[in-house]
Amino acid sequence: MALKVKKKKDCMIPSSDSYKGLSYDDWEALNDGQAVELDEVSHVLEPYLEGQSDTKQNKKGDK
Amino acid sequence: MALDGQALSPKEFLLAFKPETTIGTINVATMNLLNVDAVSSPSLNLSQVLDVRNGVGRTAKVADAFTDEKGTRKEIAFSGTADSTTLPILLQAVTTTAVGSSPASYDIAYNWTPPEIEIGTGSISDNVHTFTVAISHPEAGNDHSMVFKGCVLTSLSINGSMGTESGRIKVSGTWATGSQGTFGQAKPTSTTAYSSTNYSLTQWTAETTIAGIEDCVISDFALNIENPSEFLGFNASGDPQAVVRGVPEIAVNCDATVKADNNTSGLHNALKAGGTSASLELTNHSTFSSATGFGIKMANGVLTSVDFNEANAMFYNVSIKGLASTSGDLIQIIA
Repeated sequence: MALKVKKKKDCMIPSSDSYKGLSYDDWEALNDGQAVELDEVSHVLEPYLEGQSDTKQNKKGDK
Repeated sequence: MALDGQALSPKEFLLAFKPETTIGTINVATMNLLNVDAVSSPSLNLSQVLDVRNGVGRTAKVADAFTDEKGTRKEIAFSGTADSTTLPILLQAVTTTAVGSSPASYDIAYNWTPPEIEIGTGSISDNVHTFTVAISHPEAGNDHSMVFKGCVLTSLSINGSMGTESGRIKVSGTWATGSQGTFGQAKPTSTTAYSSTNYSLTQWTAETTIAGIEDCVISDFALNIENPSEFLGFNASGDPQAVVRGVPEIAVNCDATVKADNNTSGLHNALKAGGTSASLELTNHSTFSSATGFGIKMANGVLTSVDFNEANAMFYNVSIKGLASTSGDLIQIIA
């Protein structure tokens, strides 16, 4: 099930760790402040997102 | 000092590595031993200036000799046998990517970028940042081992040949660090042994696709991953402050020797055409996600050379550079 996520206001998502498992387009959209629907959220992305308790752990995208 | 009758076997020297929990801080607890063919001397690349200076006579003077290791790049090269304990860690170290799932493979994403590596960062619990590498010296005084902190794996080669050890997979690579080594250390204790479970070319029982050509008859194969790394800045101890990886790229290249036959005889034409579909799929299952044991999948690549190899039959030596598409992975490795 897709999960709608948004970046925290006080940070930017670095491009390190393979764009935190995001596609380039999703990475750009999140840093633009837009909400994005993701199937999986990598644990390296979680610290940058609002509503962490709603995110699920990703194994494949763990990069 | 009296003469010492002790003699040491080259096989008593050991090479071990361990992920660091604080980047750039020695971690010698339960180090993983590598199944190496031989322990070679590390390359220290010391700054050493012994030029003659202006003075009396035409001789280099004691006072002018200068040797320092700060800011120099130390490299520890190794070659040995791949095993199921250490190869997965080495693959994570060179790809800076944790294991995936479905399949459990070590991948380089199409948009791969490395993790940030800042010396002193703590609470690290993965295999993708820095490592401590130790050369364990067997001498009885137990104070001659060498330990190198802040190491990263800059190259890894996985190779096998049906003419050597029945296709058993060998591994070679290079650790590099810009931090100062420590010499005269005690041997690491409580080391983790390498596994007796190895890998082999003969595990590729379902798919043998080389350069996009299915059902190749393979005699030799090598996969080379290069992750160039540089050590930047200096801190109060004279060690670097950061490590940059994958500049300008993390590169994947493959060399294979395949039998010349109706399937493969278009290789020269394919080289000339420069197509980017020179893929690899080498597995024990026709569906990659169901493959196990040892497998490789690279969806896109370009031939960089094709040569005849006159063996007991005509073979082709082919070289392929892996390319990333706009999604997915540059390469996936099951190990």
